[in-house]
Amino acid sequence: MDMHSLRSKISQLAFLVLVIASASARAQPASDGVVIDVNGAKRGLYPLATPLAPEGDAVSKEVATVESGDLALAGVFKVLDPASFLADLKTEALGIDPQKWKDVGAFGVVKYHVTADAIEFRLYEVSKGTAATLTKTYKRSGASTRQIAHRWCNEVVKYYTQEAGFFGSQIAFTAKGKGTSTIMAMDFDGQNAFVVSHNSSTNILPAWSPSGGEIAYTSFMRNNPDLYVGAPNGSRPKKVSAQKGMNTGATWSPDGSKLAVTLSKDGNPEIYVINASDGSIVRRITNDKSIDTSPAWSPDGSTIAFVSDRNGGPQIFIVPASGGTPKQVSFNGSYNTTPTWSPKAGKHIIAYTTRDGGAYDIVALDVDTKNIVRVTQNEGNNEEPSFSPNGRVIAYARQGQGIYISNADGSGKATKVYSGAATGVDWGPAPKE
Amino acid sequence: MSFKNGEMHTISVLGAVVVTVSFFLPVLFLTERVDTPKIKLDDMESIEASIAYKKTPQKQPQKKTSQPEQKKADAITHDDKAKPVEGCKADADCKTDEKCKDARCVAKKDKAVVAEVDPKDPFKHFKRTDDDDNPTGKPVTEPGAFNGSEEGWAPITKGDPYWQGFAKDIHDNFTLPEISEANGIPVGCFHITPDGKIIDTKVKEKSGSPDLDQAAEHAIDAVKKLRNDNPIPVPENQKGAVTRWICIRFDPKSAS
Repeated sequence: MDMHSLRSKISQLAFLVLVIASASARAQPASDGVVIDVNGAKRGLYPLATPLAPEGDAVSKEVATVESGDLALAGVFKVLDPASFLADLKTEALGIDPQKWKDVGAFGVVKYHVTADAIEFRLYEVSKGTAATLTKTYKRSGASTRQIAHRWCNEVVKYYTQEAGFFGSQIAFTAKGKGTSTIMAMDFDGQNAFVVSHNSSTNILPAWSPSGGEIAYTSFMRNNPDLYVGAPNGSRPKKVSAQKGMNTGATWSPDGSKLAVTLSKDGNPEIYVINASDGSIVRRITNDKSIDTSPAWSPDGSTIAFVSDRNGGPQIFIVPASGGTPKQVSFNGSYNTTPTWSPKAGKHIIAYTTRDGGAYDIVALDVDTKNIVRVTQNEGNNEEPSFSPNGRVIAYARQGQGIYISNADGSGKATKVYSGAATGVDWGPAPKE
Repeated sequence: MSFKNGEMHTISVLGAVVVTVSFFLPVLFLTERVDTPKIKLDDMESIEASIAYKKTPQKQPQKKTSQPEQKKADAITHDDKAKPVEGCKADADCKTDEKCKDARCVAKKDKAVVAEVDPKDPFKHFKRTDDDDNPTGKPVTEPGAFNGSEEGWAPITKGDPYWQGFAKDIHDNFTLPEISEANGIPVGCFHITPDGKIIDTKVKEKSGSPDLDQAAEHAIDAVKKLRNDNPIPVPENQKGAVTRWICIRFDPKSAS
């Protein structure tokens, strides 16, 4: 064997030693005795128990009903079936036996106690033992039991997500009647529905102002589809825009000073920005021979999304609110309409109606990542989505059935909150503290 | 001093053999070592499970073998009560290690045997063709009793469908709320019996994230119930693995 071969062999041997050392290093476990790595926990809703207080009186039952209903709609929690509970609620009273709740899969437990003048709430995280992690007491004077329960549930949501809850907010919509359409509003959970537009004409496309103090909608009460703004309490609305032709699809600027609307005063529907106070035109946003309609103002005020068929079928476009060149953002299918922005800060998510296989469904598009989440599927025809004030869930109209709420990420089951023919769903702002 | 051509050839050949052996023996030895530290199980649909080792490498498990049956003819007995094998009149009629007593050949006493020990091979009387050094008995799979002080196993579990299925059951039940923290990696262990039942579990390490620890505990409890309700027997070639705790690292993050 010559020297060259010998050096070559030594090099190979040295390399082999290095490889082995490297492999051995990688093989070292983080902990002795570990055999199998299971990577990637499935992520799901937070299992929460909301047991009925042992008092069991009417107020306690109402609290439990509102509480479990709210938290089930929050888009964060999986409210557990009380039939599965193992704990002795009477013995526990306002406390918990963590193991009993662990055994039924609960991660959190909400307890409360009703007295003549107050309701005391406690939130427990089972893994943290017997000490409550959140406690609140509300006086019953000046507030209904529902309102108190909503406030508490908002605190629970805020505790877990650092986001404001939407319990106590309201949803406006168009209720279809025979030959008429009425603007109505209701609590987000379908309770306390009331009429906003007190006329016998056709009223469509309601839009809450950012403050929640006004609702803009289009009414045919003067035969032309004009734009009105009125208080939700049904007081006489103010006519804001009565241009010839369409004055429809109003969306408020985040500061509430302007409205983006569809006007067809020149014959073709185009997007305009007008002053909310008097309807005067601030600027024309689109100028195209196609149909441009359904404007939606982004929560940061920078962008307006709208629907245009300029590239063929109706698709979602975005354009700077100050004007500019529209850019198509939806490319799924040949029919995409009724865009609405998620209010989540730092995100640019648009939910809209899409047609797939002859059915209409709700999808949510992340404009930045182009990722699309399917919110509804195989559940009838679903249209006209609107995000909750914290962006966790979406309300929409299911054709011929009513209004439903689904988690914005497509998880979980849809919850029906209104029965009856409805369209034009628009979720109002977060409730005031 | 000089060498003839033939001697030179011989020395050259011997030298080459010595050099070759000195290089290849360590290579062969180390190559076997390389085979050992493979840690990943085969990919599953959504699970990556891997085999890890103790820091002190464990020896490969070995199957035990049964004792080969002894051949009666070669049996050696020191039992005086043993029945003599044939009749005799004098010691000369018997084998060298036997003597004639009461007209029968019986084994000589120990003293006599010891006196005849072959200094070059003192135990030649114990030799037989099928001794322990040359096992011919049937291999057995009896892995022995559970050793609660040992955890982990060796590469025999690599890619085995049984453990892949076990890991999948764990994964299916390992659910962490979206809003919960996921820092750290809890470790939980199972005592599995050869018939596939789980008779004990323990949380060996906590992660420090309470919800994550609870999610791991939930998965452990769920799989224990699942496997006890419908036990899947441990395959023969994996029974050795369950003589110690089977431990799971619950890493909440997806495998990279």
